Amino acid sequence: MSELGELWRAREVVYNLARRDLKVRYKNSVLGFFWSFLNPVLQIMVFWFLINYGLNVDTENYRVQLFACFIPWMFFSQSLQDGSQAVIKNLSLVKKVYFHRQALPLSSLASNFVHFVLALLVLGAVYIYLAIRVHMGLTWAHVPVAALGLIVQIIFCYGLMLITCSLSVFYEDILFLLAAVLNLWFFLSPVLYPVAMVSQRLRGVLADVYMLNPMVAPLIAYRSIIPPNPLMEGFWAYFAFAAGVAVATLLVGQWVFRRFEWLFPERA
Amino acid sequence: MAIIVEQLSKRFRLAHERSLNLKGALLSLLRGRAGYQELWALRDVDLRVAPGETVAVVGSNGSGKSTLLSLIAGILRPTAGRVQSRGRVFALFELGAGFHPELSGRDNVYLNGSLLGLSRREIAAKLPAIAEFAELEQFIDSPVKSYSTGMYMRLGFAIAAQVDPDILLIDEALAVGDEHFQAKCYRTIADCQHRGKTIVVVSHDDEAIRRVASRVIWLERGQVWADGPVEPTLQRYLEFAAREDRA
Repeated sequence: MSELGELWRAREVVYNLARRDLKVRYKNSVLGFFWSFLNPVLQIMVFWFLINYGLNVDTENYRVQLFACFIPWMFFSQSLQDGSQAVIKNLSLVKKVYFHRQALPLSSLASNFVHFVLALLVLGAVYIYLAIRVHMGLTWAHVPVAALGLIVQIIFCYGLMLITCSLSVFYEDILFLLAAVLNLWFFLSPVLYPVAMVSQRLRGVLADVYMLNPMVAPLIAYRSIIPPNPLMEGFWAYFAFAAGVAVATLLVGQWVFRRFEWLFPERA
Repeated sequence: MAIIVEQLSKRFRLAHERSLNLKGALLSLLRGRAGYQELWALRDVDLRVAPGETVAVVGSNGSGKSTLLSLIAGILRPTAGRVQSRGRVFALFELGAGFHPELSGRDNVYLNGSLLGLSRREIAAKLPAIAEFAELEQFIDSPVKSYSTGMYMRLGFAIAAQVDPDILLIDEALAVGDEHFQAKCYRTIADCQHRGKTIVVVSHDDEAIRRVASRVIWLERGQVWADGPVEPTLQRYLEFAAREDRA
């Protein structure tokens, strides 16, 4: 609780650091903020191409579902990669000024959240276009479920960020390890494919192991917004499990960060 | 007391180069050997600084001066003992620390101000004064990377001057800049002294010390070797330093 109080007092720092990240990122690029839109659009087009010519599961709904899962995933993966560098990149600042140290990973989460919201606008535009052209519906009842999923994802992600940004100050391997893990993680999560495809193929223990991934439940929730996608049987049990893992990760992250934060300025 | 330092000790663990990656860390763990060396930067230091005093800390390189300042600023945590300070502390360790070259002067003032604990409204209120003090009114919206070194330093110092801290910690910051800038710094310090602010300054410049300090603390090998009036204490240190140089 005192942690929350301190974070609240550090809100101006978080705001200014996030603003700095956003301003600096596109300062020297002609298209500027458009890259926030363009990046996900280009990636999605690659996947659409693959789906059209490779997987043969093409439906308009499937494409929008892919979009709905891919954008939050990008948010997750980008936040984690940026966040892992949040302290080490600002080490000179950490050594010279005292401020609430968690402002660093938090500002990196905040600036990535802004990108996420911008990408959501693209998703919204695509959706509206398809809604008019092919009369695509929307499962409104699942929108709050997806919002809950997003909260779980953010809590989980921030917990991981606290751990990785603390360790990165002392072990430079973390960034490389993280890139490799995220790559694998992407394919082990139901982003490109619906989770139903997994339960068809994996049986018994393997299917259970697959569901241990706390990103699965949020992704199911995002996909369920676009019909036809009923929430799978036992969804809420998986969701509760994911929420539990997310909170546990956050607590571990807080513990790790507190153990390390006083060592940051001592790092040569 | 503005600053109370009691039985303060600080130990650093200097990592061996190889333990900066996971492999190295695991290896030293397996061999049961520590991946670091210990270094006591400060040992049982006791200090009291009264409000309104200007204290200069002198000592050879590596004597623990900067560590002491970082501990008072709350950047480092003591290994043993305690540090207590009263009021808003401003550490001026490097002019324009934390400036981002791509951002405008204005944005950097906001960022720096918030790092120092000012609210957006307070910064907005101080911004004109900061720009004027730094003589940068026309350039406040240009990116800092286009500033000359002088402009950069002036802006850094202007923030410190306008933040109006109760305790000002200065680490060699005044040893830079041209005469005009130096004169400005001295005026600001004199002004702070008039208003009863507490100042702790680390410096190698004995002329500067004679000019601003009311007391000198001589730190050597992490311990206080002398603490007293400016002239005699400074003399003892200078004689010691001259002997060390010859040796």
